[in-house]
Amino acid sequence: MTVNKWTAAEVARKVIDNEELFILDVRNHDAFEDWKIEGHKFEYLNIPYFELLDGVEEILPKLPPDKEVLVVCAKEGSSVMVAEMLSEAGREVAYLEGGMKSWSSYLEPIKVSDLENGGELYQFVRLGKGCLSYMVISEGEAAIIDAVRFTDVFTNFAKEKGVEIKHVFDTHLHADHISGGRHIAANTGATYYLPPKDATEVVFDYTPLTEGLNVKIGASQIDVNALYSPGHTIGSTSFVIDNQFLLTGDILFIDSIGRPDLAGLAEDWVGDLRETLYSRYRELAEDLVVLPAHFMIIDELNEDGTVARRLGDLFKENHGLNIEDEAEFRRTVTDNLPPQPNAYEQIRQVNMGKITPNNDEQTEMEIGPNRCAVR
Amino acid sequence: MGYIIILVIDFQQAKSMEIYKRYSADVVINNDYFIAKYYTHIGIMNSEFAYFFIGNNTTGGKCMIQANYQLDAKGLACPMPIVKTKKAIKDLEDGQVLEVQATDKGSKADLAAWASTVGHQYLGTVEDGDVLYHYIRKGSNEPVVEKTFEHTVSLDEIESGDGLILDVREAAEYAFGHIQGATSIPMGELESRLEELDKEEEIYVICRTGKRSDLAAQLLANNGYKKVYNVLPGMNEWNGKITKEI
Repeated sequence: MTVNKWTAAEVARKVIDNEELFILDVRNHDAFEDWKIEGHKFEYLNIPYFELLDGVEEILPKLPPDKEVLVVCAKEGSSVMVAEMLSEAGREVAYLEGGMKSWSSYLEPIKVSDLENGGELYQFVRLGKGCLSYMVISEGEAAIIDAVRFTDVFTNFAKEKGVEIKHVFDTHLHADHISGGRHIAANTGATYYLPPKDATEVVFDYTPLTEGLNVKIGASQIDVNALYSPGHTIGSTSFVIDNQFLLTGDILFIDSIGRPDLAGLAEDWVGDLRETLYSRYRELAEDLVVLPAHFMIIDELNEDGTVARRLGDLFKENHGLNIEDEAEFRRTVTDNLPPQPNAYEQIRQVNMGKITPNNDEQTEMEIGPNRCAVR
Repeated sequence: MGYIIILVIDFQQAKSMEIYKRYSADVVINNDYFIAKYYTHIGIMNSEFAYFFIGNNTTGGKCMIQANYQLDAKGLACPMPIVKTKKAIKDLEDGQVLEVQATDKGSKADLAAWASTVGHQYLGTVEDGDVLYHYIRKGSNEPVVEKTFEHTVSLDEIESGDGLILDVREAAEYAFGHIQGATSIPMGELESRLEELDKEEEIYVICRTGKRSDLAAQLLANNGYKKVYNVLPGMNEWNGKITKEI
């Protein structure tokens, strides 16, 4: 039987198209429990590769004969070994090229909407890590918000679309993933914006991103308006784009809200978080479509693979927006927080420009889920 | 990567020598070498000798853990470090320690998980630059030996007692965690090192589960040691403070 090789892009299509897949994950149990490839209709079997060194006979009955089987490991090596053993045992299986490492770095660009006068808004979905980046395109020009570190994906996409990247924004100093914003700006000559209150320790030049900043993109003059919305960090800033979309950064997600503790100041910032979610956002039009910088669980994806929901719907459905009692809200976002993201302190240092790890080290830091939210 | 030289000097002699005082801290001998500051004279291998670790000045000295065999799996990607370890450990006798040198960061969690599924004992990992040094003690498939030495004490009793705690586990097990003040003489070396122990002193013999210490206690008693006790159960149930030599 042949052993097939699948790319992360092919697996991403299975997730977005809601297809069935049987994943044999051969990483150790802890790694699997912590983080795996999520799909609406995916089934899983987790048997560490080191329990299969003497043969795969015992697991053969557990692999459904009528489904596609994908063997997954951390970096590929073990999944190739197990896939070949299964193939010799007469099963047709595939393995994931580059393993979870490549899954963590794959970005799927999905069009969210057309904008006024031929503009377009794209969401870049990093399925393996739950990060969401954005590109606003309007005749000849582009703006990028919350770019992850795979800068080529964005610059190549801009090239394909024939647009020049003029503005690059980070809604806040990220703690769960390494930003690509500063590097995209440096490579393209674009302006790089960062909220000054998050940037007190950064060691590079940036343009301050503050309340009321207005940038117009391209010939059709798509409006990008900044709205100060602290709480996840003291500088966190949202954007209203084309009067239709609200980019919330890590303040508000589809099924959860931002956590205030990643810079070590949960007690201080919980008040800001409440103010942003319960006052500032309440003043906005309910028809705005919320586009967050993360998703936590696969159920937050819409049918087309985007992560987007009407603000008015979130006011009804999102638990974090419906805690009337202030003391209870405070408890919710400061007690019983989920574990902090892997290496988040180091990641903040990288995003401040204080340390410059190589590519492998960056990959290592970003392993695992993002965990920026509280439910 | 610089290489490591180990100077072994009789401890009593070393104490009286100028070398001991001079090399108690990082001291540059010349531009190329220095004496690493975590030299040890108690514990890692035994109390008799002073071990000075001399490392390259730029990389530092690595504190060596004693192992019976070394396996070089550096530069190999998953699954090879475990495939090789599985093969190599076959040649060890039960209770011996294998050092696995690897550069694959994932090997740490995987080796630990693998060892526990197949009944070996994962002792720990020391990192030195890019290299991970894993220590695994081969598990025993022998039937449980009946504990025959009649004088035993519980873990609680040794905490309050003032006798000597004699740890007869392998040096590597000892290095990854032992009771403070315990003396290390691995079971295999005990017979040849009896004269290090005082026949009149109370000796609490401890190992991981009470099996090796049972044999050690018998050995001591047969050689005229009068106040010997086997500590039950052993380090695997010890919840008090532990000291590491890594």
